[in-house]
Amino acid sequence: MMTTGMRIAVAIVRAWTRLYTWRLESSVRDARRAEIESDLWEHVHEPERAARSLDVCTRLVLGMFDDVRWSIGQRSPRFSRRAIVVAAASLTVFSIWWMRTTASRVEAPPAPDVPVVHWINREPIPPPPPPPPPLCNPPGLPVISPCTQWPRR
Amino acid sequence: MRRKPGTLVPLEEWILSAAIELRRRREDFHGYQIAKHIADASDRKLLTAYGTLYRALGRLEAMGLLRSRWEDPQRAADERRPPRRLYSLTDEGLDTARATRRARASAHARTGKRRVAPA
Repeated sequence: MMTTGMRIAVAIVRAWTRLYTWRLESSVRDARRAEIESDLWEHVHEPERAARSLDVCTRLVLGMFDDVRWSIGQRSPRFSRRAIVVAAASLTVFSIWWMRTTASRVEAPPAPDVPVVHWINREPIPPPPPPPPPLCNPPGLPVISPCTQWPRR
Repeated sequence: MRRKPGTLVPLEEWILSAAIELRRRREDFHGYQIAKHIADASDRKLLTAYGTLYRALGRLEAMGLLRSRWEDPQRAADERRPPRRLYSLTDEGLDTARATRRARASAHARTGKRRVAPA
Protein backbone atom coordinates (compact mmCIF):
# COMPACT_ATOMS: atom_id res chain seq x y z
CA MET A 1 0.00 0.00 0.00
CA MET A 2 1.57 3.23 -1.14
CA THR A 3 1.26 6.40 0.87
CA THR A 4 0.08 9.60 -0.77
CA GLY A 5 3.58 11.04 -0.62
CA MET A 6 5.00 7.99 -2.32
CA ARG A 7 2.32 8.13 -5.01
CA ILE A 8 3.23 11.74 -5.71
CA ALA A 9 6.96 10.95 -5.79
CA VAL A 10 6.40 8.08 -8.22
CA ALA A 11 4.23 10.30 -10.40
CA ILE A 12 6.94 12.96 -10.47
CA VAL A 13 9.58 10.41 -11.49
CA ARG A 14 7.31 9.07 -14.24
CA ALA A 15 6.57 12.58 -15.51
CA TRP A 16 10.24 13.50 -15.58
CA THR A 17 11.11 10.27 -17.37
CA ARG A 18 8.44 10.98 -19.96
CA LEU A 19 9.81 14.49 -20.40
CA TYR A 20 13.44 13.65 -21.04
CA THR A 21 12.61 10.65 -23.22
CA TRP A 22 10.13 12.68 -25.25
CA ARG A 23 10.69 12.41 -28.98
CA LEU A 24 13.46 9.84 -28.62
CA GLU A 25 13.56 6.78 -30.81
CA SER A 26 10.71 4.55 -29.65
CA SER A 27 12.88 1.55 -28.72
CA VAL A 28 15.25 3.69 -26.62
CA ARG A 29 12.39 5.65 -25.09
CA ASP A 30 10.34 2.60 -24.15
CA ALA A 31 13.35 0.77 -22.76
CA ARG A 32 14.30 3.64 -20.48
CA ARG A 33 10.73 4.16 -19.29
CA ALA A 34 10.29 0.46 -18.60
CA GLU A 35 13.60 0.30 -16.74
CA ILE A 36 12.69 3.24 -14.51
CA GLU A 37 9.24 1.74 -13.96
CA SER A 38 10.82 -1.52 -12.87
CA ASP A 39 13.23 0.28 -10.55
CA LEU A 40 10.37 2.24 -8.97
CA TRP A 41 8.38 -0.92 -8.41
CA GLU A 42 11.33 -2.72 -6.83
CA HIS A 43 12.08 0.27 -4.61
CA VAL A 44 8.51 0.70 -3.44
CA HIS A 45 8.00 -3.03 -2.83
CA GLU A 46 11.40 -3.60 -1.22
CA PRO A 47 10.83 -5.76 1.88
CA GLU A 48 14.20 -5.05 3.52
CA ARG A 49 14.50 -1.32 2.94
CA ALA A 50 11.46 0.80 3.63
CA ALA A 51 11.17 3.23 0.77
CA ARG A 52 10.38 6.84 1.54
CA SER A 53 9.06 9.37 -0.90
CA LEU A 54 11.97 11.63 -0.03
CA ASP A 55 14.43 8.91 -1.13
CA VAL A 56 12.67 8.58 -4.46
CA CYS A 57 12.69 12.34 -5.01
CA THR A 58 16.34 12.61 -4.00
CA ARG A 59 17.30 9.85 -6.43
CA LEU A 60 15.42 11.71 -9.09
CA VAL A 61 16.96 15.12 -8.43
CA LEU A 62 20.52 13.86 -8.11
CA GLY A 63 20.26 12.06 -11.43
CA MET A 64 18.58 14.82 -13.44
CA PHE A 65 21.81 16.14 -14.87
CA ASP A 66 22.76 12.67 -16.10
CA ASP A 67 19.26 12.19 -17.49
CA VAL A 68 19.56 15.32 -19.57
CA ARG A 69 23.04 14.42 -20.78
CA TRP A 70 21.88 10.93 -21.66
CA SER A 71 18.88 12.33 -23.49
CA ILE A 72 21.02 14.73 -25.52
CA GLY A 73 23.44 11.91 -26.31
CA GLN A 74 20.61 9.77 -27.65
CA ARG A 75 19.46 12.38 -30.13
CA SER A 76 21.09 12.91 -33.50
CA PRO A 77 23.46 15.92 -33.76
CA ARG A 78 21.16 17.56 -36.34
CA PHE A 79 18.16 17.21 -34.05
CA SER A 80 20.15 18.49 -31.10
CA ARG A 81 21.19 21.63 -32.96
CA ARG A 82 17.66 22.20 -34.12
CA ALA A 83 16.32 21.59 -30.65
CA ILE A 84 18.79 24.07 -29.16
CA VAL A 85 17.87 26.72 -31.74
CA VAL A 86 14.15 26.18 -31.18
CA ALA A 87 14.60 26.21 -27.40
CA ALA A 88 16.69 29.41 -27.51
CA ALA A 89 14.19 31.14 -29.82
CA SER A 90 11.27 30.06 -27.64
CA LEU A 91 13.05 31.26 -24.53
CA THR A 92 13.77 34.65 -26.12
CA VAL A 93 10.17 35.11 -27.26
CA PHE A 94 8.89 34.04 -23.87
CA SER A 95 11.28 36.41 -22.08
CA ILE A 96 10.19 39.37 -24.24
CA TRP A 97 6.53 38.55 -23.74
CA TRP A 98 7.03 38.14 -20.01
CA MET A 99 8.92 41.42 -19.68
CA ARG A 100 6.28 43.30 -21.68
CA THR A 101 3.46 41.78 -19.69
CA THR A 102 5.14 42.44 -16.38
CA ALA A 103 6.26 45.97 -17.27
CA SER A 104 2.83 47.04 -18.52
CA ARG A 105 1.25 45.87 -15.30
CA VAL A 106 3.50 48.02 -13.13
CA GLU A 107 1.88 51.37 -12.27
CA ALA A 108 3.89 54.46 -11.51
CA PRO A 109 3.76 55.50 -7.87
CA PRO A 110 1.58 58.58 -7.09
CA ALA A 111 3.28 61.92 -7.22
CA PRO A 112 4.11 63.39 -3.80
CA ASP A 113 2.04 66.34 -2.45
CA VAL A 114 3.29 69.87 -2.99
CA PRO A 115 5.46 70.71 0.02
CA VAL A 116 4.16 73.41 2.35
CA VAL A 117 6.87 75.85 3.37
CA HIS A 118 6.49 77.65 6.68
CA TRP A 119 8.48 80.80 7.52
CA ILE A 120 10.24 80.33 10.77
CA ASN A 121 11.70 83.91 11.09
CA ARG A 122 9.41 86.53 9.60
CA GLU A 123 11.91 89.47 10.03
CA PRO A 124 13.66 90.41 6.77
CA ILE A 125 17.27 89.45 6.50
CA PRO A 126 19.54 92.58 6.79
CA PRO A 127 21.47 93.48 3.65
CA PRO A 128 25.13 92.57 3.59
CA PRO A 129 27.66 95.29 4.54
CA PRO A 130 29.17 97.32 1.69
CA PRO A 131 32.60 96.26 0.49
CA PRO A 132 35.57 98.23 1.90
CA PRO A 133 37.04 101.00 -0.30
CA PRO A 134 40.13 100.15 -2.31
CA LEU A 135 43.61 100.39 -0.75
CA CYS A 136 45.23 103.82 -0.59
CA ASN A 137 47.96 104.77 -3.00
CA PRO A 138 48.51 101.48 -4.67
CA PRO A 139 51.92 101.55 -6.38
CA GLY A 140 51.75 102.70 -10.00
CA LEU A 141 48.16 103.98 -9.70
CA PRO A 142 46.71 107.51 -9.02
CA VAL A 143 45.59 108.49 -5.54
CA ILE A 144 42.14 107.17 -4.65
CA SER A 145 39.88 108.80 -2.06
CA PRO A 146 38.25 107.51 0.10
CA CYS A 147 40.54 104.60 0.53
CA THR A 148 41.60 101.92 2.98
CA GLN A 149 44.94 102.32 4.71
CA TRP A 150 47.60 99.69 4.04
CA PRO A 151 47.97 97.37 6.96
CA ARG A 152 50.98 98.24 9.16
CA ARG A 153 53.63 95.70 9.79
CA MET B 1 33.60 13.85 -14.96
CA ARG B 2 36.00 13.67 -17.89
CA ARG B 3 37.60 10.26 -18.05
CA LYS B 4 40.93 9.12 -19.35
CA PRO B 5 40.61 6.66 -22.22
CA GLY B 6 40.41 3.06 -21.02
CA THR B 7 39.64 3.94 -17.41
CA LEU B 8 36.48 3.59 -15.37
CA VAL B 9 34.85 6.21 -13.21
CA PRO B 10 34.26 5.20 -9.57
CA LEU B 11 30.59 4.37 -10.08
CA GLU B 12 31.43 2.01 -12.93
CA GLU B 13 33.97 0.29 -10.70
CA TRP B 14 31.33 -0.09 -8.01
CA ILE B 15 28.89 -1.51 -10.52
CA LEU B 16 31.40 -4.08 -11.75
CA SER B 17 32.31 -4.97 -8.20
CA ALA B 18 28.66 -5.46 -7.34
CA ALA B 19 28.20 -7.47 -10.52
CA ILE B 20 30.88 -9.92 -9.41
CA GLU B 21 29.18 -10.36 -6.05
CA LEU B 22 25.82 -10.95 -7.67
CA ARG B 23 27.38 -13.30 -10.21
CA ARG B 24 28.48 -15.55 -7.36
CA ARG B 25 24.82 -16.06 -6.64
CA ARG B 26 24.47 -17.22 -10.26
CA GLU B 27 21.88 -14.66 -11.08
CA ASP B 28 21.58 -11.81 -13.53
CA PHE B 29 20.89 -8.53 -11.87
CA HIS B 30 18.74 -5.52 -12.51
CA GLY B 31 19.37 -1.84 -11.89
CA TYR B 32 17.72 -1.64 -8.51
CA GLN B 33 19.72 -4.61 -7.25
CA ILE B 34 22.93 -2.85 -8.22
CA ALA B 35 21.87 0.38 -6.52
CA LYS B 36 20.96 -1.52 -3.37
CA HIS B 37 24.16 -3.54 -3.39
CA ILE B 38 26.28 -0.41 -3.74
CA ALA B 39 24.39 1.31 -0.92
CA ASP B 40 24.76 -1.73 1.36
CA ALA B 41 28.45 -2.10 0.57
CA SER B 42 29.18 1.50 1.44
CA ASP B 43 26.80 1.74 4.44
CA ARG B 44 24.74 4.41 2.76
CA LYS B 45 21.03 4.87 3.05
CA LEU B 46 20.58 6.67 -0.23
CA LEU B 47 20.55 4.65 -3.40
CA THR B 48 22.36 5.75 -6.54
CA ALA B 49 20.32 8.26 -8.52
CA TYR B 50 18.23 6.94 -11.40
CA GLY B 51 19.91 9.00 -14.09
CA THR B 52 23.42 8.36 -12.83
CA LEU B 53 22.90 4.62 -12.42
CA TYR B 54 21.25 3.86 -15.74
CA ARG B 55 23.56 6.11 -17.68
CA ALA B 56 26.55 4.28 -16.17
CA LEU B 57 24.96 0.90 -16.95
CA GLY B 58 24.44 2.04 -20.53
CA ARG B 59 28.08 3.12 -20.79
CA LEU B 60 29.30 -0.22 -19.45
CA GLU B 61 27.11 -2.03 -21.94
CA ALA B 62 28.42 0.14 -24.77
CA MET B 63 31.97 -0.64 -23.64
CA GLY B 64 31.18 -4.35 -23.88
CA LEU B 65 31.64 -5.02 -20.17
CA LEU B 66 27.96 -5.79 -19.52
CA ARG B 67 25.19 -7.23 -21.60
CA SER B 68 21.50 -6.89 -20.99
CA ARG B 69 18.25 -8.60 -21.87
CA TRP B 70 14.64 -8.19 -20.91
CA GLU B 71 13.22 -10.95 -18.80
CA ASP B 72 10.30 -13.05 -19.93
CA PRO B 73 7.22 -10.79 -19.74
CA GLN B 74 5.13 -13.76 -18.71
CA ARG B 75 7.19 -14.26 -15.58
CA ALA B 76 6.83 -10.58 -14.71
CA ALA B 77 3.11 -10.77 -15.34
CA ASP B 78 2.84 -13.85 -13.13
CA GLU B 79 4.57 -11.97 -10.34
CA ARG B 80 2.41 -8.90 -11.03
CA ARG B 81 5.27 -6.48 -11.55
CA PRO B 82 6.93 -4.66 -14.46
CA PRO B 83 9.49 -6.66 -16.46
CA ARG B 84 13.10 -6.28 -15.40
CA ARG B 85 16.05 -5.47 -17.58
CA LEU B 86 18.63 -8.02 -16.51
CA TYR B 87 22.35 -7.37 -16.80
CA SER B 88 25.22 -9.81 -16.74
CA LEU B 89 28.98 -9.52 -16.99
CA THR B 90 30.66 -10.34 -20.27
CA ASP B 91 34.02 -12.16 -20.26
CA GLU B 92 35.75 -8.85 -20.82
CA GLY B 93 33.68 -7.30 -18.06
CA LEU B 94 34.65 -10.12 -15.71
CA ASP B 95 38.35 -9.59 -16.40
CA THR B 96 38.00 -5.85 -15.95
CA ALA B 97 36.00 -6.29 -12.75
CA ARG B 98 38.63 -8.63 -11.28
CA ALA B 99 41.43 -6.27 -12.23
CA THR B 100 39.51 -3.39 -10.70
CA ARG B 101 38.93 -5.31 -7.48
CA ARG B 102 42.59 -6.19 -7.23
CA ALA B 103 43.58 -2.57 -7.79
CA ARG B 104 41.09 -1.39 -5.21
CA ALA B 105 42.21 -4.01 -2.70
CA SER B 106 45.82 -2.96 -3.05
CA ALA B 107 44.89 0.70 -2.77
CA HIS B 108 42.85 -0.11 0.31
CA ALA B 109 45.81 -1.95 1.83
CA ARG B 110 48.08 1.01 1.17
CA THR B 111 45.84 3.74 2.51
CA GLY B 112 43.67 1.82 4.94
CA LYS B 113 40.74 3.94 3.86
CA ARG B 114 37.43 2.79 2.58
CA ARG B 115 36.13 4.44 -0.56
CA VAL B 116 32.71 5.94 -0.53
CA ALA B 117 30.36 5.02 -3.34
CA PRO B 118 29.24 7.86 -5.55
CA ALA B 119 25.60 9.02 -5.37
